[in-house]
Amino acid sequence: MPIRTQDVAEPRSKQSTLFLSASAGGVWTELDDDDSQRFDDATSGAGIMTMTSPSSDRLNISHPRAITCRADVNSTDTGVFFTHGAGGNLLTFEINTAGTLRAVQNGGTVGSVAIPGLAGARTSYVLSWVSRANPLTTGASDAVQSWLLVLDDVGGEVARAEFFHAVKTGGRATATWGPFVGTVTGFSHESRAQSLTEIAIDWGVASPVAPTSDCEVVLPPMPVDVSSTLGDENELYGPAPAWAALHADHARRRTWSPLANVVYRTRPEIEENTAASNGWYRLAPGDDAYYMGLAWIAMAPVPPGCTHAYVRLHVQSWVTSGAAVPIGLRLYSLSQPPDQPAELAWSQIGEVVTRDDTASGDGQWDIEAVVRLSIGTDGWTYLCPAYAFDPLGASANDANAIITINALHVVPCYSETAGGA
Amino acid sequence: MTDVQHKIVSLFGLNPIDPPAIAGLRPNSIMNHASQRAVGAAQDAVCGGSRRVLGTIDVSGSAGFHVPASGAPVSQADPLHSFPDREGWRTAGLIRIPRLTPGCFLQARILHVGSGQTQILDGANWEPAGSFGAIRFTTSWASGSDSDGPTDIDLELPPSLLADAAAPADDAGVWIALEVTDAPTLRPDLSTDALMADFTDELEVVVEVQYRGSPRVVALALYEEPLFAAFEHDDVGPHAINGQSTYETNQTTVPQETAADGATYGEERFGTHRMLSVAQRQQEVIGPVVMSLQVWNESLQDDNLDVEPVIIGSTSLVNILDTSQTSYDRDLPGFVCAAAHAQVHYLSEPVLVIPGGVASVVPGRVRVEARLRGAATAATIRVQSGDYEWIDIEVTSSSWTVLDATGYFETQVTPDHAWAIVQVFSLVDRDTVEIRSVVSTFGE
Repeated sequence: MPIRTQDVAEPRSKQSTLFLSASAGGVWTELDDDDSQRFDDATSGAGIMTMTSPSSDRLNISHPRAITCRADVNSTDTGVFFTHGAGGNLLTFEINTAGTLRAVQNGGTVGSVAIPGLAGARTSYVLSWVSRANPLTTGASDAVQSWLLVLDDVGGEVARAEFFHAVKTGGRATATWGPFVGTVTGFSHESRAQSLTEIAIDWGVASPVAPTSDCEVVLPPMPVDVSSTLGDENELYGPAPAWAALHADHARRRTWSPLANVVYRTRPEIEENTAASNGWYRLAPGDDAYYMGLAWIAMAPVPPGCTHAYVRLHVQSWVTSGAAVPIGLRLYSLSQPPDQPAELAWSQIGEVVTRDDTASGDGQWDIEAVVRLSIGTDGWTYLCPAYAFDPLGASANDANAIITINALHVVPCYSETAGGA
Repeated sequence: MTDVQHKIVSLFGLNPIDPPAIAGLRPNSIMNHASQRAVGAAQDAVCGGSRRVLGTIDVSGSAGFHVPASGAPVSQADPLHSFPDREGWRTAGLIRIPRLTPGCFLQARILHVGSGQTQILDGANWEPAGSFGAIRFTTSWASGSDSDGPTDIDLELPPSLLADAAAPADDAGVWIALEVTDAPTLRPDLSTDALMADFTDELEVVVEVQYRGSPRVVALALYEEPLFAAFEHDDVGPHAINGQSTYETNQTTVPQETAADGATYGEERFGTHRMLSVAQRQQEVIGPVVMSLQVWNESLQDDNLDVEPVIIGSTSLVNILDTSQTSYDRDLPGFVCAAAHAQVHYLSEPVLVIPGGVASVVPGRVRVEARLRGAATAATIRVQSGDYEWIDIEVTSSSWTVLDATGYFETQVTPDHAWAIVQVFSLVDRDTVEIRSVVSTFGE
């Protein structure tokens, strides 16, 4: 398991990092400094840098691996980012033809992708070649699954190409970075496949919004294997049975799937009087304002141990004229379908929204809160959205309000005890 | 003691299994091992609680059944074919799951109201045939070298008791008339040791749901339930270890130093190493159903035909459920990749791998069923879960084809994380591409 190395200044250095360097100005005598935990530098030359065997042996891996380069590129730049071996063992990661990123392995081109958004002036790009064992391999010729990934650091565009090829061949050789006509500002070489999300957050301008709540992270130890080496995704944590017990709990939780995960195929417009005398709508239990629509119902067996679920409802709300009308939105969790002989237990979560998305608008995700699940004796819960027009009597414009309900997510929640058990 | 040992976890509802059962459980209960003991005693321990919903077929927003609601009974003189055929089965959905959780088989629950009227073709005329509705589950199973099926299980749903077998129309009438029906357990042939061993491991299944007559189904949920797991070994070695990959050949020598002795099995399961290895493999393949889209559309469905596919005729990417959407937007309707529980930190650990805990990814597989129509020669179906993560599937055949692709899904970091909306896009070079199902699951 990759561990971010804490004692180096470079935050991109992880346990899986084999080589890492950065230089904002693209200076080769800075790029040759290895900031990975290995601190095993390359040697800079005129417009290039090299690393000889045995130091370069750690870069001679077929998969999983991720070769990444950050560079300022324009529409005419060409050059080599990384190369290893020669002839039938040649591996090259390069822009061979201006505007096209190319991957060469075992002496032949295995993949290429057009770089989007190139202009006359050089702008920053993050370029990656990620390889891993092909889970759906059919033989030696497609044993490895690769992606070329391009992130336009300025324009935000993303390009990718997926391709399959054979395992890398070749023994010890000198690794060479460069020459490249443009400006290279960073290199990295990882001993595992990385997702573009991780690469973008490490190298690019990506700035996803952090979640509003936190979860305790439980490190999943990996077993040591006879073939384990430094940097493999293996690390033994404590006595094996204790770890295995932790794994069993994780395995159970990993099967928790959404209780409802629906994009509604039909999205009828609901008005104030839609529910009146309509067999598909009924007043929510214990309420005289909210109507549940049977057309939106979802049902699911609740994973053992799950008591609460996070709810999102995608709703478009608008008025044909006048001021926006408050709309009450709820998600009910029922222990059984209502109107059945046994006693009904229910719980709900909701909110009142007042907005005018307009008839051509997109709507948005609403509720976004946690509901306590009411679970029947058979372990099931029935989940149904409900609505009310102007539930507090605050508007005189109810007759002009319309909503559509577009999608529903009900995601099981968990609370972790210390240690994640 | 014979030279064949079984470690069997068996539960209610299945055929009796040959003894000895080392880890039998209370009947009619979900598996509930004390986890450390379970893993220590049997390294192939299966998940104790998976009840993943694998697919749903429902009215999906349509406040009305496609089966005609009411009307005067069809007279013999009426030449119109106005009610569904009582005789023929028609496909409502094909739910294709690449991997069940080891030890799990399928169950289904149907939420419905009374069935409506049907007709039958008598010569050239459609004649009234009473109220009738039925559902058929046709299952096909494959694992390892074994396959089983297709096997049919039919279920008749009760007719409507209203005049003319009408659908309820009164205030809250459909709610009041709701009934819940559970289908029998759907499982493959488990009659031999070898079948038990194979079919309780990573089991691939296709479930074809068919309707006959006029069933009025509000919702149908197909889900898995942990029922049974088998482990077998004899004097040539293990036959099945749930979750163990076949290439782990080095396991037989570590840590056990001598070959298994056929009579006593001093260390049958090869100890700690195998336990950890299997646990790691399980960690990589056991996980949530990311999304399961069956394209049944109650409001557009024809009474007498198989499910209508989604038809896309755009040469640039459009959302297959809303063709006005041409690019990924997490603020628009989509599915959710709710894998925050998955805890696969070697890929997505939110502090040490992806800085700041702002994003998370999990490995996943997409399986679609699609075909090209007209002069189309190529189509792309894209399942996108974030700005940087999508999985493309290329369609090149004009007959229905099941296609798989693997990659990464961006997932929620916590269950209330606003991101990780999954949207499905498609384009075709000319004419149209038809899509019948899109299923995305955790693990490759």
